[in-house]
Amino acid sequence: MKRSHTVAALLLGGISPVLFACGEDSPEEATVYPSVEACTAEMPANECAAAFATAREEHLKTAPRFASREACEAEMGDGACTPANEGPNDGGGSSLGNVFVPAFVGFMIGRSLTGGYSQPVYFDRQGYARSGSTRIAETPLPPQRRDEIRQGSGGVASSSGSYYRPGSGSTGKSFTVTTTGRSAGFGSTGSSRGFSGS
Amino acid sequence: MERVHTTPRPQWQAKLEEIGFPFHTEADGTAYWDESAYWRFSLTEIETLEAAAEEVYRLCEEAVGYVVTRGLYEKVGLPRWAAPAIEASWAEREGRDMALYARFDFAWDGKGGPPKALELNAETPTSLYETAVAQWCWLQDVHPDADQFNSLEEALVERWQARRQAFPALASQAEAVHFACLMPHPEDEATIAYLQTLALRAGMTTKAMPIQAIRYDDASGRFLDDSGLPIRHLMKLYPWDWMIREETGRELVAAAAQGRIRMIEPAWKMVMASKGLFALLWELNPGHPNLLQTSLDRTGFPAGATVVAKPLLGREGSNVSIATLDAAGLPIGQPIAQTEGPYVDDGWVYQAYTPLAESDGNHAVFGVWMAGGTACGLGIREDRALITGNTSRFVPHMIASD
Repeated sequence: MKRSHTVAALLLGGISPVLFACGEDSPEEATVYPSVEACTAEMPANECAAAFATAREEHLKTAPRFASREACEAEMGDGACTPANEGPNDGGGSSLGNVFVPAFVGFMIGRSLTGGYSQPVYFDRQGYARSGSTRIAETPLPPQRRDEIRQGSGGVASSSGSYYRPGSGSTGKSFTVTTTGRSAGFGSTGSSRGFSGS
Repeated sequence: MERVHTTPRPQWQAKLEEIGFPFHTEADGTAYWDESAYWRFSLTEIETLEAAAEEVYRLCEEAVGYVVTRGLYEKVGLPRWAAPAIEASWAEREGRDMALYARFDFAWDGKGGPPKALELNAETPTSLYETAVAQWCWLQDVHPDADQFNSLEEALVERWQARRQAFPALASQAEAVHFACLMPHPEDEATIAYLQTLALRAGMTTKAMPIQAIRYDDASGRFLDDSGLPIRHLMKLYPWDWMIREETGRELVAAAAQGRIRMIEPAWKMVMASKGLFALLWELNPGHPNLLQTSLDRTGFPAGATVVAKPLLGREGSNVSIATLDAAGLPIGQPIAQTEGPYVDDGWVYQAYTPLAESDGNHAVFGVWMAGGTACGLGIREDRALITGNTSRFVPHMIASD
């Protein structure tokens, strides 16, 4: 076969690529779900719940830890952090103590011939997206859309729990990144000529 | 090969929008994505195109090496002072400065002669998403059991995986890949997003940003992103030969030459992207069946030859003209076809005219995609005009199952 087994379409208004599979032999696919509900629309509920639980466990194990909400938000963005002991009981018995971690904004389910996996997804302040021990690509979203997703998923309280909760104490707080250097000046030629590749 | 008329899928616009491709219609209401027809190929024809692309790509690599080892930068319209970045990256072309992708344009009517390479878009090839995703989904909808020359997505994920392996800091997520293009620019932003998605599948950390927001820190010699973090790997959907002539172009050349920033595509790709490379290809491989006579000098063609003039560093089919030349290399009468555009400053390359595949007045150019040196996909652009431009329609294809 000379065609790809799957392709990753950019889902308009979604958080993630959605993979379309060709045949049953898809070697590898991964989909990011912003909520358990979004997942159940496409997959059996028990698989979604299990994936969520796995992602959360992975998150608790591997998420960057911060000693305070301020330190966490400085890296991850305003309202993006949650105390590690907050949220649904993961049942795994792991404890991060009194620290703050970025709340995850979705979870990614991947499959391959060697089995499935599930990972948490969250954005940091600089717009990098990470997944568990692996950071993942920032999705094709402008920052405001990213914020909408955060806000949106922040409001979701499902039977699996709310996995993103904007920090209540962080409203109105600003964070300024120190900008060094000067503008590199790239883009001027294309801006004046118009550019659309070759 | 055959151009087959067909009925578009009901709500085809909505279907394209659903998969993240809202760019199916031009501003004037004409279709850019055109599924009122498709091209059907035999497997043998596809394998012929595939082999031709890999062969000519190999020749292109040789020609780049020829330019680099002899310092013939003027010959391809590039300034000598860009050489340090080009040469340093060329030395690491098998590893840390590997190529990601490119797209050939082939002319071929399938009537016995071999496919002829018109050019290689080695730096900022367009129609990636149309090729890899939109026509894949079209095929899945209308001919789910049929095949298509299109493993582009898988091939690109493999390229990202190879890059990840070449950089331990990418593998450990200590470093990220920044993706930059002009913003706002919805089409390019979508392309960037798609490339990011593929890098994600290869396990990379990425970040998208406007190319205009890149900063340069004179003290450290580093380029910085909009958060003030250093950019170690930059995938830019923007031509090298523009960047080096912009404000910090020389700083970019120095940073790339010293490996402080790794560019995708690497600097050696600006040699490969020059239309002048095809003049050198002909010089080095005269009479090659997959090449057309090409020269920087229009007096070398036989009297009465029909010749295409293209800007050395042109894009989007701009400033191209087709004319019949006399013995002195001067056009006889009016050009057969020509396009306007801004690329008039950097010299010209002349190429023997060869007809594209044609059906019912539609002229089709076959875009063969390369991931590194491997041919991995086909995207077809059609136009009523002889010169393919950035509004030429994208028409899907399939491989006949017989």
